[in-house]
Amino acid sequence: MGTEKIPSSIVQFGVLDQVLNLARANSLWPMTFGLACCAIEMMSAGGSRFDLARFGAEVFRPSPRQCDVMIVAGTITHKMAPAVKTLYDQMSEPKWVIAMGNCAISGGPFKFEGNYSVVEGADQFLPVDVYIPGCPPRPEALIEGLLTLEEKITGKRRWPRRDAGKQGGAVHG
Amino acid sequence: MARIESTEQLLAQIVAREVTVSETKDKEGEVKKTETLVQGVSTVDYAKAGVNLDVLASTEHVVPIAEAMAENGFFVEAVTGVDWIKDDQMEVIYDYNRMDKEPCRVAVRVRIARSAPAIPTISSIHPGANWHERETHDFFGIKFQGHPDLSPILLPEDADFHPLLKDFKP
Repeated sequence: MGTEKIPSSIVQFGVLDQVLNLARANSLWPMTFGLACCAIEMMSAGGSRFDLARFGAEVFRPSPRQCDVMIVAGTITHKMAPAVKTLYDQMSEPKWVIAMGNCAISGGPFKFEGNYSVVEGADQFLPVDVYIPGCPPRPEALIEGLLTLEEKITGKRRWPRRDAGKQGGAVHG
Repeated sequence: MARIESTEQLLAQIVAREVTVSETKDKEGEVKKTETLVQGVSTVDYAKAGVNLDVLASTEHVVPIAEAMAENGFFVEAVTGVDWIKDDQMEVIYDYNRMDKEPCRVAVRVRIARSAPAIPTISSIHPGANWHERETHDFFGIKFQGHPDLSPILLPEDADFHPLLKDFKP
């Protein structure tokens, strides 16, 4: 889970590490962890219109042993939190966490003074790599989050960033 | 219409009608008697109330009403609670419904004491009320006597607080 500069494992492969990271980034297998409404957007992103399959991430595995990334999509209640932690612990390294939606980032609309049941953010007990704001975030936003995670893993972005506002939608890397 | 009337008669046999009469003086000094229903069945406007019949009952009527409803083809839609902290009472509301050519929706309200609230369970007659009563116990602390398993259904298993009480501080 380390960056390029910090050694993440005992055995260093050198250039092969970059190839391995590229391989990991291009086939991130998410775990089906839709807890609430963001799950609908996640399912929609896996569908045919927005299509996560072109990023290698269409394979949602129900078993944590077979996953790389846990997309926490939805509200985490106090009753559900031990289950989330158990599933995160069961995933094998290297693993990443994407907090999708406002509830997973900070408790979202359920963060108020009398809150008794919602854990205010997945980062209270999980190390989160990418935050995707939105309530719910659009499927394109989830794709952008996955591309950001890929950039974090490999150091390079798969597609250049599109600059909004320029005429004709100029593209620069 | 016939369904509503027949159900009203059926329930009126179980729940005896009680009213309290209060006297008020209006502007000319004339005494007016107003009757408020304390216990009994009343037909209400469906467009305003959402139910056809409103039944005010007490705890000993709960199981007979549930049995009568089950025999007549009604199912329980919801069991919920209300915290009337100013009256020092809690209220349990049962919604019964029957959806066929003559739909009829009945709301049964039962007032109980706020300290150590208890009411008999209807889960042996209507199994669907099992989880509703668990939820009501979870959020109000109302004990359903005879319920097989009143463990928390929405709150964590070790929760010892009841959030929907009006004086709950998290």
